[in-house]
Amino acid sequence: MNLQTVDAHSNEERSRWPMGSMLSWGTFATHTPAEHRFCARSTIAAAIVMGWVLLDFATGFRPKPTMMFVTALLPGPALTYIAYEWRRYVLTLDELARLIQFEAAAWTYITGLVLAMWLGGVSVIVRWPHYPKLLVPWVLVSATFFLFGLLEPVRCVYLYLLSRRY
Amino acid sequence: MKNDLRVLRAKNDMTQAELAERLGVSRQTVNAIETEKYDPSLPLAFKISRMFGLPIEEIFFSQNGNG
Repeated sequence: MNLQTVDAHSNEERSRWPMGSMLSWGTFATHTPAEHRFCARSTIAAAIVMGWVLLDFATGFRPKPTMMFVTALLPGPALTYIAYEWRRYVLTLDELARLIQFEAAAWTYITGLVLAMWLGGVSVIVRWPHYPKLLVPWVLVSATFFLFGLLEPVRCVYLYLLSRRY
Repeated sequence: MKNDLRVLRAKNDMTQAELAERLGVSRQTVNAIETEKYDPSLPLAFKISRMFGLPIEEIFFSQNGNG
């Protein structure tokens, strides 16, 4: 074994997980076609939902049946599509990366359940149901926020924390 | 689970990245196995075993050395 190889070996002692990629996209920066596909398509899907919600917000949540119908139903198919793309991406990963992704998803699910229980309890205490006019539009905004704005960063943080173990 | 992967890799003058490429896994996975932070799946262990031409029990062994 020559000196160059020894240096190469000693430089490899650390795992060097791609922190930026994990905390922003929730991926491992493998730069594979599958990863590019997941990032691009999930961003487009999320942007469509966020764009529509912002448009609805800008128009003052006027009770137009068509707009309300789309606002209410759009996040469902969009998230289903993102989940489908995520599954496709995860299946292309090697076994350790896949394990970390699934573990991060499991912890995010548990965190989401805990938060939902807490928020549900708090909503009863502060009597949100007594203010339906305030509640109805914000349910849609907060649901979108909950999914894209809160749980996805939580998943990225779990991804980062779990990768530290390896 | 303990293993001799790092020693075997060094003997074969390979970097983690080269070994990872030949095994079809990430360099981080090879590093995690070498540092004994992660135990590979049975298919990956067999792949490693075939690559170095050694039985699995000569590469991976338990803490007390009972195989």
